[in-house]
Amino acid sequence: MNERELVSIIVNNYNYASFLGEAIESALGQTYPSVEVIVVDDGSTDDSRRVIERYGDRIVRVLKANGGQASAVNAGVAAARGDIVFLLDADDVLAPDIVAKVVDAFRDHPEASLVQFRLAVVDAERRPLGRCDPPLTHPLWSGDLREHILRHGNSFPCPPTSGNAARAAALRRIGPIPEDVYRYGVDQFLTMTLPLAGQVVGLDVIGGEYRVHGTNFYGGASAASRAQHAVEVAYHGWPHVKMVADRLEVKGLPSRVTDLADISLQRDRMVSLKLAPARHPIPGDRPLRAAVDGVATALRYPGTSPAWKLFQSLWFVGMAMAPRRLAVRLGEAVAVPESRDRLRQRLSGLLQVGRRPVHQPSRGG
Amino acid sequence: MTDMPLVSIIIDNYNYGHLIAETIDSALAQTYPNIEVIVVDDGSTDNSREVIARYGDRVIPVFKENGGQCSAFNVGFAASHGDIIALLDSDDVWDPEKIALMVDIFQRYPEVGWVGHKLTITDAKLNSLGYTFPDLLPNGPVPPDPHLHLERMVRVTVSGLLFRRSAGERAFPIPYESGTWRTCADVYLMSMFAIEGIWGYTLDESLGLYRQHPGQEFAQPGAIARRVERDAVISEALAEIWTRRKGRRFSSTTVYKHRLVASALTGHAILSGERWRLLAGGIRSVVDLVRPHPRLAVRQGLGIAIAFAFPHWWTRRVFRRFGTQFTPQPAATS
Repeated sequence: MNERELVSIIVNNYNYASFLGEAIESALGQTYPSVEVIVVDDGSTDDSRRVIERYGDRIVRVLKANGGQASAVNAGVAAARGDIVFLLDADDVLAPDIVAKVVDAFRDHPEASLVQFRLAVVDAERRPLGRCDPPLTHPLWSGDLREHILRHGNSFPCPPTSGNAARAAALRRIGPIPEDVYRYGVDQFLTMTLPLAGQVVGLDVIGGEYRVHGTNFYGGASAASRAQHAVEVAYHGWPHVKMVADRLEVKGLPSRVTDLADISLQRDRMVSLKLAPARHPIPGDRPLRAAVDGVATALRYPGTSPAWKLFQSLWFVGMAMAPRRLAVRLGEAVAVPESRDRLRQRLSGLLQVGRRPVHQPSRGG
Repeated sequence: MTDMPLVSIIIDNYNYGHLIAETIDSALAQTYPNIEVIVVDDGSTDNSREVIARYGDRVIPVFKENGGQCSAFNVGFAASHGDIIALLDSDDVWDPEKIALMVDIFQRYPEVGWVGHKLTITDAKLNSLGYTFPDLLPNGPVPPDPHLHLERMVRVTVSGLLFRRSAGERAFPIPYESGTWRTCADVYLMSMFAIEGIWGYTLDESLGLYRQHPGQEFAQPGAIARRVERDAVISEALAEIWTRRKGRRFSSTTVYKHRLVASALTGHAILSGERWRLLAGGIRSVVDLVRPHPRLAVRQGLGIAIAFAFPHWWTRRVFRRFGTQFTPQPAATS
């Protein structure tokens, strides 16, 4: 290994001209000396290209026709010369010392393929909203997560795309990312496949800012369409994940994605089935099946209390049987993170049920 | 693979002289520039050879004795030079951008050895009947799973199948001499690719026309019973190949389900010894399937139970009405 490894920060941008400058500045302003910044513009129709021009030779420019987030990341990885790759969404920002910390983490863990860190959630003007993604209450996971992926998919606390850094060699082994499936949500594919290519290191630091603003992809979406998109990506991405697993010689993934005991996937599936059945992405799926799989998932889910298991099981059964109007209330109460937090606060206030589920690896890792 | 790999299009023809011109035209009209078109005439007795000769050196003609679809593809594959091979029946027609789209998929996914897509079903004059074959095809990679092929879950037809030369070299030649593999090159090839551990990719998109016309083998009277029986023979042959190659038992529930239906269609005594034997074999094969594909096993088990228990006059009526596939009927005719 070289004395000083080159780090590539891939900034992928689509019509974020107003935020792009800050993202590039944060990438160029790293304390770690050996950084190349690759800016991929995915066919923006706004001022983005002018912003990119401003940086001249300080960045590597990749200008391409619009093809979605996966195609932008693929183009960036193809252009990257570094040993470690950061994926930075153009509306997010990295902390100045995070590259140095991640490089140290990769040096300490030669088996690692993926390093994750928390992002502070901020609004459009970068005012902190007082929370992190993943929340500070959820410990980040480290170690060999293969067993967990085989049974529960990527249902461990994962930061958004900008909170992930990967070893370039591992990224090339799992890639290219299927462009038609992952038009949004590249992190879904990466957090599912990179842990199969090596170990995961969760750095308990806040390594950047995750901007929540009106034009986020998920910004204004309803609970149903949000859930639907998650299920669609999981469903259509599953054969690709299996193909990558086959390439990495990891055996034992279930044949269908609905067999994964992944609580958020099962929740989204139920919400999608009940709230917008006509647009449900899985052909032939039924609420009863989703309820059976959901209850099985809730009962098998590691690191959760019996009360949580009971509550989740009741939710799945209730959803399956509820008429549409009640299902909408039930669905939003649990599937939308903000209302889930509200509900939890109200419940713990009323019933003094202080125990919230703490997600932890089934084994020490 | 280079940027623009050569694609060999192999057209097999037997006595479709009145249809083949449209087929060859659609192959030559591909927007993808680097193609060779090989037309294998399988001993036609009509004017096919004249029609083929009209194309001069724009196609590579291969004339041979009659031996069936599979033997024609054997000869065509041996004569081809492409990195990617596409098969085309001489009564079907492709969309012009099909090859370009398919090459893109091969280049994006290096371990994908074959690609399949849907075809729109049309009448004899190529008017769309409003549905496709198959009606649903998952979008994405297909794992090399034996049961998908033994139970005939991957329903890609010849004119919708393409594969890499490297994959083809491990499957060809097709053993057509025994008579089992006269037709159904698609099923044989995809199953052999799976045996070799080669991934496939299916596209839920129709990129051609699948013509239904009175000259077809399965448009003849009594074809339903023959088709059901032939499906059983083919699945049984596949199970045998898998068992021989892998050294452990593979069975196909489809064999028993179809045999039970076929015996009802051809008027077997309702509870003859033959039907009990088929039921026993069916149960054994369902048990084999429970571990790898529990839900499919339940479905096939129910199918076998129904095929066994229902009176044969009922089975006959259902199959007269719907054929072997419950394809949606176009609204205009119902």
